[in-house]
Amino acid sequence: MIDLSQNPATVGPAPTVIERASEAHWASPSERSATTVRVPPAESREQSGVPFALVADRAMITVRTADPDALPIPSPRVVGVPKVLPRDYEAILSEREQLLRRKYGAPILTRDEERRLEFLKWQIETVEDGQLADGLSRLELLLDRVDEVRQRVEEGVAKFKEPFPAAFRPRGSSGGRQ
Amino acid sequence: MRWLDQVLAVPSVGIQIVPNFSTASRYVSAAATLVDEVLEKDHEIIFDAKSPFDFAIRTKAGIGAKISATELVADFSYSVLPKPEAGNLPSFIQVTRRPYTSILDEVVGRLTHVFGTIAKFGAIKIRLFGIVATTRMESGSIPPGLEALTRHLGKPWQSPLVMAKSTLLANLDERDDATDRCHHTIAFDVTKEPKETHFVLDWQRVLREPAVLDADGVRVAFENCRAAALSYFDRVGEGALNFD
Repeated sequence: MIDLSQNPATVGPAPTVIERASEAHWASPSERSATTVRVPPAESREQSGVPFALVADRAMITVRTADPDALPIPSPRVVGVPKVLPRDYEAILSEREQLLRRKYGAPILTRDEERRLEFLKWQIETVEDGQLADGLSRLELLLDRVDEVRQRVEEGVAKFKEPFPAAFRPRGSSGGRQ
Repeated sequence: MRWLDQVLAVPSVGIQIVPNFSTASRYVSAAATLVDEVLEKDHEIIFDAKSPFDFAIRTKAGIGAKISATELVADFSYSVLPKPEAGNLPSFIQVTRRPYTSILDEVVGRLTHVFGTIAKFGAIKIRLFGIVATTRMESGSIPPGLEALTRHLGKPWQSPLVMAKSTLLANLDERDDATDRCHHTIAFDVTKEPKETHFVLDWQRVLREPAVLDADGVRVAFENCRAAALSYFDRVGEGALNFD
């Protein structure tokens, strides 16, 4: 938490920060869910002397109440939103996500999910292999039929080319069909 | 979809019984009744009697039953029958592949029927129920879980095994009334058959105390065993065992 009561200049921008953080449509879902901005009610602020409490990403920032003089950076820079293009912000988020993944070793899928995925891949391949085998069997059958038809046609052509028996041969013909 | 339905796998089911020769001595009468009953449905059977206490029946469709003083077993094998052709060598009738679970239901039905017939001739004390899946696969088509199990066996040598012929028996669930266990048989020899691997999963429910059941009791017991065995076979095929 940051004690901003000693610096009136920082009180103004704070509500803007909260509103923009919650409505930032360009922030990734993980970023929106991972970030929590809490504003204690006015009474508790008065009691504790802390006007605003900001608890950002649990994995990234924890800023606690401190003597304003001890803050490492000026307060406006902590609560204000830096002007950044959406694509630059996405790049930052992406880099952070990669670093967090490396840091905590959290893969996208759990081990069980990875195993299941591998098994499903095997199942799909087995089904596809079966379909392919069926297709090849049908193709083989078709080729056998084509071969059979070709053989019959060849036999027919050969018979057609045979010379007519003498009794049926037209007069003056030497034998073969034209 | 179960992986066992996707590969060429055949089931066998069995009941191990406490030997009782008073009951077994009536097997000849039981065999006659059984043959008559099976013939009524299947029309053509092969009957093989090794001794008065030990005989087997196999139908043309491939369903077999073995009855002995120590066990009752029903199994299935694909029968490739020759079809004589005039003026030619006999051709073989093409066999259609069937899903493992469908054949399993059929062999369980056959065993329950055999049990019911035998039990009419005297009480049978059951020690164990078993459900087996036997499959022979090409190296490229082995499901990931069995692939992982085979790899795991070769871990101490940091390289794939060249030959294996092993049976691993593990207890899966130990309860007050029974223990579930499974024999895992893995056999391959890359030097002889580089692409072939033989797997047998033999799931068993061993009763703490042998129980006398009627045919209905056996049917219900097999329904429970079927569910537990298939669930375990799924885990093995998917690789859900812990290899850490």
